[in-house]
Order: sequence, then C-alpha cells, then structure tokens
Amino acid sequence: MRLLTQVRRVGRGRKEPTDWWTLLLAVFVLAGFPVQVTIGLAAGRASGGPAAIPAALTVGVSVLLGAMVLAVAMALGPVRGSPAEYTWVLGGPVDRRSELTPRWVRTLAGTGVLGAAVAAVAAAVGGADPVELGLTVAIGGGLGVALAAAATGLQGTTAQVRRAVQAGTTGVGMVFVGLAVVLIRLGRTPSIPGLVALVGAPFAVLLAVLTVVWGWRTIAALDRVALTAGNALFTAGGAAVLFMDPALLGDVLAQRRFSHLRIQRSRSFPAGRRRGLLTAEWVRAVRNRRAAGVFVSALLVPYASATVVPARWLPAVALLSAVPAVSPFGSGMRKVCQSAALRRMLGGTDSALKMLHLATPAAAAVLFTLFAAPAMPADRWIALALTPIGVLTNLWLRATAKPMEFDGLVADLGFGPAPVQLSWFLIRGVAPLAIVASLQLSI
Amino acid sequence: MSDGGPGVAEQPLLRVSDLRRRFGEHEVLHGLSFEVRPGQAVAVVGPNGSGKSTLLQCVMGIQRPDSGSVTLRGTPLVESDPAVRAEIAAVDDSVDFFPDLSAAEHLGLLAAVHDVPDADAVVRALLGEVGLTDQRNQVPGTLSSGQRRRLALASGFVRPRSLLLLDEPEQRLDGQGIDWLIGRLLDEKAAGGAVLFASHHAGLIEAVADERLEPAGRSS
Repeated sequence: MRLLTQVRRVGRGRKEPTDWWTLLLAVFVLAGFPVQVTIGLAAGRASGGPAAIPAALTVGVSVLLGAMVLAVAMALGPVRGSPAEYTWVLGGPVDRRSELTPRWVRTLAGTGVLGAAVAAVAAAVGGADPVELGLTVAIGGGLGVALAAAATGLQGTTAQVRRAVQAGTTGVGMVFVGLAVVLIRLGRTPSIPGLVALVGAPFAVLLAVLTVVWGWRTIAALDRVALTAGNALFTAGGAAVLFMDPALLGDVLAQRRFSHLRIQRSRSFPAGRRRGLLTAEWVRAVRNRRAAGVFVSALLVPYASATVVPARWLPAVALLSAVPAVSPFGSGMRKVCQSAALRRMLGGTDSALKMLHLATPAAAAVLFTLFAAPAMPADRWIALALTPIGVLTNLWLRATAKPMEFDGLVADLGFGPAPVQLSWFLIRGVAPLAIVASLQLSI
Repeated sequence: MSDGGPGVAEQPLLRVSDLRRRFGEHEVLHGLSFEVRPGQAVAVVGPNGSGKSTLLQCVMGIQRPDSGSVTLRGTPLVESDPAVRAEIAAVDDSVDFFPDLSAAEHLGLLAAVHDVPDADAVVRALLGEVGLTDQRNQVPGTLSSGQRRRLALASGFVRPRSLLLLDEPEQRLDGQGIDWLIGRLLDEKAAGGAVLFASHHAGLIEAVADERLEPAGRSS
C-alpha cells in the first residue's frame, strides 16, 4: 500500500496541469445553447405560444435521458484502469477496493452534483418554490449517484446482462416519452402531484444508498477486462472532443457495436456492382437494429416538441432530430469515404461508390421526413421538405472530410488570423444544417 | 533485371522508371526502375526500413513518389482509375473491412462487384483454402489478427486481376499456409498473372520469384 501511495504521488507530480480555464470557457459556451433555447421558449410562451413544458413530457424525457446516461456510463466503465495500470498495477496482488475507491467516489460525487444541478435548473425553469426546489435537487442528486453506482454494479456482470439492461431502460424511456406525447395530443396533460416530489426525494436517496452498496461490493471483484473495456472508447472520445471531430469515434463505436453481432447465415449478393453494393447496404441496414431504435427515438422529438415549441420551429426541430436518426444508416457511406483501401478493393470510381452508399441514408431521410409530417401543421410541410437536403448534405460533408489540417491558409478578417482549412473543417457539417434551418424558419 | 520464366510475356504489364521517394533527409527509393510482365513474379527483398512497403505503396498509388513514373500497360497508373482498380488486386496492412459484414459476405461482395461467375462456389472454396470455413459467419472484428490476414489474402484472390501486389503475405501464416500461398502464386503465374510481392520468407521467394529486387538499388 505504501508503494502504491508513492506511485500515485509521483504520478500526480508529473501530471500535465489541466487547462481548467479553457474547459470552463467551453462549458460556458456550450451551456449557452440550452440557455438560449430556454429564453426562446420563455419568449414564445410570453407571446401566446404553447403552455409550459407538460409534466408528463418532463418525466418521459428524464427517464430517457437517465437511460442514455446509464448507457454511456456502462460503455466507459464507469470505473476504469489505464493501460499502464493494467500492466503495472492491476496485474499484481493489489487490493482492488483500496486502489479503485478514490476514483469511484470522485465519479459518484461528480454524477451526484451533475444530477442535482440539472434538477435545480429544471425546477427553477418550472417556477418551483424553495421547498420543491430542495426536494427536486435531492431527487436529481440521488438519481445521479444511483446511475453511476448502478453502472458500477453492472460492470461486474456479463456483457449480455449490460446489453439487456441498456435495451430495457432505453425502451422504457422511449415508451415514457411516447406515452407522454400521446396523452398530450389527446388533450390530457396529467400533472405531477406535489406528493411525488415529497416521496421521490427519500426514494431517490434510498435508491442511491442501495446502488452504492451494490457498487461497493462489486469494485473489489472487478477484473482487468472489466476495468479496461472502456479505455478505447474513452481515448477516442477524448480525441474527438479535443479535435472537435466526432468521426474519430466512428471506428471504436462500430467495433463495439458489431463485436457481438451473431450472423446465422451469410448472405449472397447478386452479380453486378450496383446491385451487389445496394444489396449489401440493405443487409447492413436490416442488421443494425440499434439504427431502427435511434430512428424511432429521434422521430419522437418533433412530436414531443410540437407540444412545447411554436409550430414555426418544428421543421428545424425535425431537421436536427433527423441527423442522429439518419446517421447510423450512413455507416457504409462513411466507411467507403474514409477507406481508400476499401474503394480499391470494390473497384469503380470513387464518386460512384460514394453515391451508391448514399442511397440508404437518403431513403432513411425521406422516410423520417414523411413520418415527421403529421407532427406539424400542413402549412409547415414545405419547410419540412427541405429536411433530407440538410441531413444528407451534412452527412456527405462529414463523411468526406479529410483529416484536420492545422497548417495551411490563414485569413485575417479583422478579428485576428483565422486558419481557413481548420475553420472549414469545424463548420463543414454544421453549416448546411444552419443554412437549411434558417431557410425553414424563414419560409 | 534478367528475363523471367518460360511463360513470361514480352510486353511489360507494369513499368517503374527512375522512382524516387524521400522522407525528409532520408531517401528511401533512389531512382528505381524495373518491369513486371504477365506470368512473372518479382520479389521485393531487403531488411526492415529498406523501402519495400514504400515501393509497393508507390505502385499501388497510395504514396506519390517525388519523381519517376509508374505505368500499367503503358498508361500512367492512377489509383482512382476504375480500369486500374479492375486490374490490380493489392493486399497490404491497409486492407479494410466493413464492420457489419461477415467474412463470407466480404468475399461474396467482392466477387459480385467484380462479376465473378458462380461466386458462391468460388467463395466457399476460397474460405476452405484459407481455413476460414468455420469463421465464415463472423464479422472481421471478431476474427483473430491471423484470421483477418487470411481474409485479406482471400480478398485479393477472390476477384479477377492482372497484377497481384502483396506486402509480406507470409505474415501470420503457419507452414501449411505458406505452402498454400506458394501454390496459389504459382497458379497465378501459370494463368498469366503478374505478381509483385515484398517478403522476408526465403522459401516463398525461392519458390515463386522470377526476379528479386532490392529497393536499396541492387537486383538479381
């Protein structure tokens, strides 16, 4: 133990200092988006827009968000050991609990604070009184801790159990949101009785205590595989955030997603380049069940938003929710665009290969648009029809992006020097969405 | 370079002239020239770092040489040209796969897009040859590195080609696999195909190569 303490102390001494100011600035800038949305909603409400966010929808979205947070926590660990620890520490006769407890406690504290903060913002937006605010914060904090602790408990189970829990919780979340949307569209807007907050707070705290006990028992027995399974995703995620390039996550996510794919019988493909490639695209789309789940979840967004935001915004909301819905269907296209070796193997021209692989996401984008149409009044359908253009342009520009260049042309537009290629790289996916959303709002 | 074996055609399929490639101050390829004819196998030999892979990548079009030319049937080789892609099958470390198609489906797809007749039977036979019959329904991510390598080799053999480019094809193959590879490459030559391969395996080079080429400048 003394040796381990010394190793940790030396490691801390040699650690690069974290640029907390940059991180805080990034959080401040990113936090501006939800603040702007809240202000916009408040303005819409003031000018006779839809009423406050219905309680049923709040509950549904909260459940779905909780399921997503649990999924992310399970994918990353949540308790992780670095590759160096894998070799030098975890391979030795080290007491896992004493080694892992400090980082686990930090994780629980972080998720608890985050949960409490989100709950506080939600309660403040909803106009809660101080007592309700306190109870909501207790619920949020308790659930934040419970999610991280439950993920730790699940870390000690098999991958099949974790996948089942992930599918189950996400499904329950989707059902909650769907049910809320149906109830609201039927004109029934059940409110949350004050009693729920009163009972919910101790329940959340009790849940947190139980899951912490479960997690505490689990960490002593976590093996090296369980502790390092999320490392690849964590590293790729860090790189994706640092370089602001989500594509860096693509290979790792695909690897995780399909590593447990069980194919009973391999498919044959009809002869001919076009027919063969389109059939392969179809096979991939059918095989990717998660894509269908994401598609349906994203389709709920315009319907749920219709109960909250002004009708004028709905085509833009549909556009933004179509991006994650269509994205999984573009995996073949991204792969072909990013892999010259694959294009060489498949033969034909680059442009023909890329266009052929655009067929499936194009079909998904059109279907999404058609299914989203009933969520908004008929006078918004022309604006909605622009959705596939924005989504497919976004997908194309992201898929065909070359690796980020940090040198190259620098332009001085009066605000200081700006690297042109780097700037274009950062906005090339967002730009078509911004342009199409602006058009949709102006129509 | 001397003439190849008895089945070697006169007209070169691939011609490399005065190829130069430099990384910083270090010149890896200094004015390399050679030809590969149909029915001929040329082995690129030399120690690690001698430029074998760089040469193959320049021929594949993955790397652009600083000077010199690479022509296929007398036409400058452009990697993105569909005619070039139809003629060249290349297997090196950059071979990539779709993460959601099985081993058999990859080979089936390649056979389909290259219009291979009786594709299913060809794929089945090839999977048996490379010892992946039991893994035919697995996606590449679940294969071991050796199995992935064999799938990559199979991807080069499943489709029609005039020129086969292989970068250390013996990697991760056992003795039986090497014997299979030798047989395959000899068949390739007998059928009029050209082979350019980098290798460290003396037995493979001895059995298959008509010519040996050292990027450092010497050839035999």
